[in-house]
Amino acid sequence: MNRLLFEKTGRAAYMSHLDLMRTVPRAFMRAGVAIKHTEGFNPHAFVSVAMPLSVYQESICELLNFELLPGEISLEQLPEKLNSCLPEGIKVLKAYDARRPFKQIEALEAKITLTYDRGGAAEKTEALTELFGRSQLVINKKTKSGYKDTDVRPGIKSVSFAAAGENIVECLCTVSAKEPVLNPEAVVTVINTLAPEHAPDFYRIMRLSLRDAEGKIFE
Amino acid sequence: MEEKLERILRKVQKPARYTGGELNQIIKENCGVNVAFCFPDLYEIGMSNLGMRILYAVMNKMEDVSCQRVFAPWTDMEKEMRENDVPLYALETGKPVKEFDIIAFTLGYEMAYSQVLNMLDLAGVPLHAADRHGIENIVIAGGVCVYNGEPLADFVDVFSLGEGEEALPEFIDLYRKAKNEGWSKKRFLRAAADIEGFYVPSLYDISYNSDGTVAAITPLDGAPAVITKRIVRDMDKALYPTDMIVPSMEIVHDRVTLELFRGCIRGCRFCQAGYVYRPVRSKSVETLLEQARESLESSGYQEVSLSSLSSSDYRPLADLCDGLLEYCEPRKTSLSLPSLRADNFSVELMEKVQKVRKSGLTFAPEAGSQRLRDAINKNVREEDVLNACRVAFEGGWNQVKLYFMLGLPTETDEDVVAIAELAFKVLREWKMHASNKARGVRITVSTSFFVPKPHTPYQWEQQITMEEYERRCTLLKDSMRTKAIGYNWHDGKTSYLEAALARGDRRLGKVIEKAWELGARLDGWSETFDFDLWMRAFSECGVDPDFYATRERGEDEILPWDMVFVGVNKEHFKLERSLSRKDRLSPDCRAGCMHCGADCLNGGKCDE
Repeated sequence: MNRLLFEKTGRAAYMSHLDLMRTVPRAFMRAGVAIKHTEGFNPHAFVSVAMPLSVYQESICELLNFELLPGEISLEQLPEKLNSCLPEGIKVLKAYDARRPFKQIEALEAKITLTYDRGGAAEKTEALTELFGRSQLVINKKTKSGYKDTDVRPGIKSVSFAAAGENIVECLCTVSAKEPVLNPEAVVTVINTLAPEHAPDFYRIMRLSLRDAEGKIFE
Repeated sequence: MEEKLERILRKVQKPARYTGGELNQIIKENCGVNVAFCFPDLYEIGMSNLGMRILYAVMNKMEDVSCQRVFAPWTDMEKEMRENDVPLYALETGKPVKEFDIIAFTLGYEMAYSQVLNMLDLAGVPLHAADRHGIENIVIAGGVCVYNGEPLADFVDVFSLGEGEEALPEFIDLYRKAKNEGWSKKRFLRAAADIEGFYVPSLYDISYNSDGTVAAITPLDGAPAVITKRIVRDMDKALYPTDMIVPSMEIVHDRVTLELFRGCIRGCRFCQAGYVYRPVRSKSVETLLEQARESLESSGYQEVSLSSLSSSDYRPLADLCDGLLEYCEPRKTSLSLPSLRADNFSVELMEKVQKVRKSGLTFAPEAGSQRLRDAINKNVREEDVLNACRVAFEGGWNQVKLYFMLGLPTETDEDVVAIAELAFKVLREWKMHASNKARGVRITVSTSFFVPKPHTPYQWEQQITMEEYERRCTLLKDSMRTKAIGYNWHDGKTSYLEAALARGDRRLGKVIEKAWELGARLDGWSETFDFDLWMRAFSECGVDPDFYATRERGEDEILPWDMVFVGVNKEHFKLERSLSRKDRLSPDCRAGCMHCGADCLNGGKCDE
């Protein structure tokens, strides 16, 4: 099994996961690199992504499994070749043999940039730090069996806030990537639900890294 | 991307429609002439349009010219744009449309007219040509609708008639000269009218008779009395963009489209495309194979579609399919044909298109009875349809779609019922010949409401009323004897409005504007189309839509589009109309030339 480490940023953040699953196989086709296809009536490229990324979120740590067919170019040459065949914002950083399975991914580190149009970033930082210091954070969250009140505090492994100028609060968080998985977006939902007076006017989410059980970077 | 835009993209569906950034988009900075190429419908429709892709490449290939794409926003995005003061922008760079020199529209469907106004308004550009005084924001429109662009004459500065590959660069060069030398708009438009194929509506005065018909079309300031459409003579040399933009989201035609030829040898009397794209000009097999290979390689698509008005009339079709399959099969790439003629459908052809993947078959007999098929010159016999279906069923296909029109000139109830009978006979073919009955069969009959179009033998005909159309739909529905055949029909209201706009004149400009003011948007979409609103616009403007839709014109009447020459003589249309009334066929162009006149555009050559 082979693996790509790639970024999905900027305009590409608006591409859905399904769009991505069409775009990457096409990039292989364009690059003239043959990869394994499924058998059957409607053969399609055999690719899988570690953790589907929500629309609007960016990432610098996406992982995708594929399998080069024998006789294809070397993995070292692949990033350059694919990058000329991918849309703006999707950039392959590395191609390599996958040694560890996706199931060893335990956590996800993300940066959330919260924008406050009316300023007051310092006070917001203080208030949010206090909010996330609570032992329980119950929000109405979508689960497999519909919307349910759920305590998301256990899923937030670490979280910190820091003001960056008058209008911006930067949040660094690590959330569970194992069942029950927590989308970093839940941090914003917590703010909007439990402290609506501190709801941001706009926010961005950027995935920074995937982590294993020891907290080391998973690639 | 600006944060202001990002904020509103969070609130709309399918934001990828509005971001750009796809593979192979072209960004050229600091060009002397900038063109905003507007498609008055959604991204996924516009990006499926081959003409737009070709002209995008043509313009961007010009030195010092930049062309960027603009699509219509869906209602949710429009609302956000208006509330947040985000003007209409081009996808490549986000530059506001108002900052472009030339604002070009491609018009393929009359129901997009309200969206042209809406896009100008969203751009912050005055709607009326007369209110745009300078040479900036010149509004030009092309596409099949502009063979009668009169309903949009108030809003559009210049109409580009015919194929743009060669004509548009001439227009842009003139624009560059005018811009560099500081010409007035008046001077520029007068000069543009001297380029062949460009119609400047403000240079024509239209007067009317007391009965509402056109009294005279008077060219002003020495403008030409007749404007002849432009064509590309040598299709092998025509630019075809093989490094096409690959949308990141799914679009309607998400595949490589190969255009085998332009024009059509068939001469179906209802078909505007069949006349306005004449004369027939083909690409060679070598050109097509090379274009297919390059496009598939540069796009990564795994499907190629053969697209022409009647692809099975391409002379070397077998050679082309063989060559394509040789390339496609090992790459798991499929080959598809959008619709087939029943009279030259063969086992071999079917096997070729199904080799990689199998999809449904579509035939368009257009009319149920032989008499009516002869009257419209469809040139397809019932045994052709049944034979084609039998071949398909024997080959293992189990889905057939049959397309018909209701309201064709001379149609009687017998002709309507004959549609059900034909579908039933197709079902019987399946029962007798299907190779695999276990999978069942899906036969779908679809009917649309005939819209008489300019530049066809039926340009003088009345459209039947909506009530009559609905009666015939019900008659057909009641004639279907089995549930194994599905029946869909088009909404009559859309086709009635389409008929009024298609053969309209300049007096419809105020109706379109009123409808837009009342909220008309994206009228081709059932979610947004509001018929009552349009009827209110007609009545508030004191214009009767029946005058345009359901009135039969006299053959000596001056038609609003008489200043436009598509290459086919009016006498030919009259002859075809009279043959239609006698249920008489004309041969196809290959079997016998009827001297329509279109070869004059190509130095006497047609279908060589």
